[in-house]
Amino acid sequence: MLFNSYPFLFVFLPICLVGFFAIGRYGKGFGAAWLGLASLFFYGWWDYRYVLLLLASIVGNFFLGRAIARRARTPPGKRLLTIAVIANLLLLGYYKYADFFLQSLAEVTGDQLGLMRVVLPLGISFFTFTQIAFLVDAYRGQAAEYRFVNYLLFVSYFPHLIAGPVLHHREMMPQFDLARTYRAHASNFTIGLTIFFLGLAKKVLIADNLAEHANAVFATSEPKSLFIAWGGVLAYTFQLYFDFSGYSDMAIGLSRLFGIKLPLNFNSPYKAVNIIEFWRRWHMTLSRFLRDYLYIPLGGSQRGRLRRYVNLMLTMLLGGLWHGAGWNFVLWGGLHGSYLVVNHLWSEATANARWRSRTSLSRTIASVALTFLLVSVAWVFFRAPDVPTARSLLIGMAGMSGVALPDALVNRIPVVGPWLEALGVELYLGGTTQFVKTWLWIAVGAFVAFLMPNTQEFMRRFSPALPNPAQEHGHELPTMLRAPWRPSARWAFLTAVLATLSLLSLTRPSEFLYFQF
Amino acid sequence: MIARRRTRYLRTLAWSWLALSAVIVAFNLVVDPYGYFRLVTIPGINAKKPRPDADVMTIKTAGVRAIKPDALILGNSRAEVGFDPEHAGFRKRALAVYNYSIPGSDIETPWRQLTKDDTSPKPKLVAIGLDFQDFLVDPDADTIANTEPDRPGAWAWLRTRLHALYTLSALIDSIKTVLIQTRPYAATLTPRGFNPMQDYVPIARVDGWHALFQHKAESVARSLATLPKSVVARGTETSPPLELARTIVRTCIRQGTELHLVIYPYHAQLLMLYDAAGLWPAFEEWKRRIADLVATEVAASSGDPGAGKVVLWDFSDFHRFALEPVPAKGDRTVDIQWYWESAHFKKELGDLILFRILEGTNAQDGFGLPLVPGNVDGQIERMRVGRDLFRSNHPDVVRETTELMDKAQAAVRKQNDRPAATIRQ
Repeated sequence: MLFNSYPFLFVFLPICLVGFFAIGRYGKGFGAAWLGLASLFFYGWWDYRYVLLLLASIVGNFFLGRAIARRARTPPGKRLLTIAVIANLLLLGYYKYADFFLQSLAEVTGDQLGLMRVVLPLGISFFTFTQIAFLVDAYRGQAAEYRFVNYLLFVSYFPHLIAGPVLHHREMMPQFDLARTYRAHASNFTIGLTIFFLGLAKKVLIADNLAEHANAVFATSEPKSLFIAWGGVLAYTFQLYFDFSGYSDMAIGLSRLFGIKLPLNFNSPYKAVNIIEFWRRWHMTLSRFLRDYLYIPLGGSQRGRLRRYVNLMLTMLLGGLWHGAGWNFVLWGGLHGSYLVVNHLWSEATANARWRSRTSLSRTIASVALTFLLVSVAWVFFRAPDVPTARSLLIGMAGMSGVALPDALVNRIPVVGPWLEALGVELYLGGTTQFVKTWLWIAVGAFVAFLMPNTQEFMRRFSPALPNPAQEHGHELPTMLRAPWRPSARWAFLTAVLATLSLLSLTRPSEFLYFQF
Repeated sequence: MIARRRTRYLRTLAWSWLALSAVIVAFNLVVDPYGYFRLVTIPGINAKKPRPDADVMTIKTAGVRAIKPDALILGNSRAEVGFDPEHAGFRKRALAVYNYSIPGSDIETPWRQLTKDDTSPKPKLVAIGLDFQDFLVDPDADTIANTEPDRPGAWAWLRTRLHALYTLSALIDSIKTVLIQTRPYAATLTPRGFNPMQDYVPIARVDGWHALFQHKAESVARSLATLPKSVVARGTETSPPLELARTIVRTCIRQGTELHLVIYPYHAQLLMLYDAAGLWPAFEEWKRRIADLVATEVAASSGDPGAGKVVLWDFSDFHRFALEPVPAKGDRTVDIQWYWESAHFKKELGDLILFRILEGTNAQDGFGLPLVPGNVDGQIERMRVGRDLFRSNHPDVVRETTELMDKAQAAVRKQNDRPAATIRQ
């Protein structure tokens, strides 16, 4: 069931909410059980057979976690933890990486190996990571014993189940245990609905309109001229941001309706002034997980500079592979790992430079532009179906497949035609509408991403979500619409306009990009 | 106090949403851009309808249901823009006509419309545009046609109407409907399903006719490069599209419908693309097989007094219309009389075709031949002569079309050589 669908919004959600508050009056356990069962129904709507897999994973990890917690920081506990983590990774490996492994093996050996065609259960990457964190913390003695119903709800909680945020038990379990969570509050509905509709608008009014322009360019490995290649890549760059951050906003808003705050997942990542900051703003809960449960256990920055960079590269390569079973994702992770290493080396080399202490708007803009450029280039590998397509796009973006504009467009701009032809710009027939719409939607995406406040800035007076300690406040571009939201009639009307336009766009629900991970 | 303010916020949000939704539904219902509801026609507000970008079949089916025509024009976009249902020949015969042609469709669509769809039962007259490209088949593909129609159920009907009332695309189309009322060159669809293509007029003025012809030629070349080159399945004398055409002929004969099958008047540039694509032998074979098919079915019904009349018309030739010169690149002064580009003829040429088939008049020598097995070889030979003459008189067009086809075929070969994509989950 998709958040951006009529059955979810007008049937599932109202029933779920009414049931939660009605049953919750009889006790926290009843309310949590209702929400847990509703979440399993939500998951089963996609494919009921995988509910059993999810339940088996939850039950298994719950009892393993209890057993590990009883042996916290002891060798038997460590052995049990190792077995439990391996079991989780094997499950993930089978469903997500078996065919990738077989195909890679076939390419290396030249043998014809049959693929297993395993269907990837939705959200398996997310619920596996969530539970590995629980097991590790159980071993560390940081996870107290919980009631099963709360654990079931923590893992299966429908707002985050399919595409995150990656939740941490420490921030969720206490909220499930609060009696006030199970009572309806107008403030939660006010804030939750507003955040939800902001997220829905990001998804259906911006991301979905950018999708067709990105898809067309990534569909073939044919050579693409400069503006076509950049048009497709930038369309995807903004599509992915609005799609995923829209989903995260919807998850945060929906959860707030139930009185539960989720952690922030995005903080205007394209406004980042360097790659290090980008990863503190993009998919923040995944970054946190990779840092706490991969980078630091590998040794982090505590074992020398070389080891630090090796750990960074390993973390990013595995982070890339987590996103998808394909070499293009490994390349994407490797590229970001390299960016991070270069960023750290540059920071160290210029740490004492005098200009570092002075900030200026022009330098911030240049830094944001460079970071955005590098991130966009990396998305080529993330989105391209194969390496030849990625190569053709990068060649096009470098201008090595020529520079061309639609003939009809140039015809409508007086004087420019001969000037462009003198510069060697080729003119082609057809595709004018597509070209103009692509760049107009990119302009819309850029305007909102760079110049508008993000959801949590917009809602800043009402603590919309759990704060993230890594949240950056250092370098900020000036934004428009500085007045924050408040529960006034004017904002209610504007939210209703946004809600109406979004609901009008639900006729062809499209899946969220991060469902595939 | 705070709780009351929050409750007021929620109440305002809910009422605003309901009010906005009600206004939008009412606006879409009155303006009715797709003609589903037909509550009111207000000049200057909704009299002209925009040409739909999608769901053309559903919109036209609603048009047919509302108008209840007794004659239909069927085919693809060539028929939609070329054959005017308001033509004098139809009026003379007191026929209410609807242009039920669907852009981008093939022969399966008229087959469904006539044999499976109960929208317009037993029309008195049907004119169907036949497109050679729709009859090209892979000789080794399954020879059984897909004969199971997707009949839209009550839920599909309801969903279509709800979409027309409460979607962003419907709202945008309603606004577009109001805006186009005073624009002479808007993209519209007449109440009888005809596409006047007036939006091409300013495009031709600014970009020139050469650009329109060239762009179409490029797109046709790309399409031809991917098409098979056979008219029949291997080891047989027929193919799925030919069998669909046979069923159409049989149905019309049986129900007493007068049927005119029209081979379109392709422009010489398009004919030379067929030639460059190596499709000329298939083009000739197709004409022979269609002529045989029609003659066989007509002969089989010769004793039936209630049988419908069937005529196969061939308007494809190197006649003076097809030879209309394409203005040179950059020339924006010369106008084109008969074509929008090489694949689509204007209403003016469509009118001559309709005169020919409805009244049997042949004001233009040799334009429109009733094709039968007895004259098909002569027609084919005549066309070969016309083609050879064109080749020698227009080497520049031959060179351009050959280059276009070579480029398109090279691109297809490159795409086919591409290794399979890696797994993505």
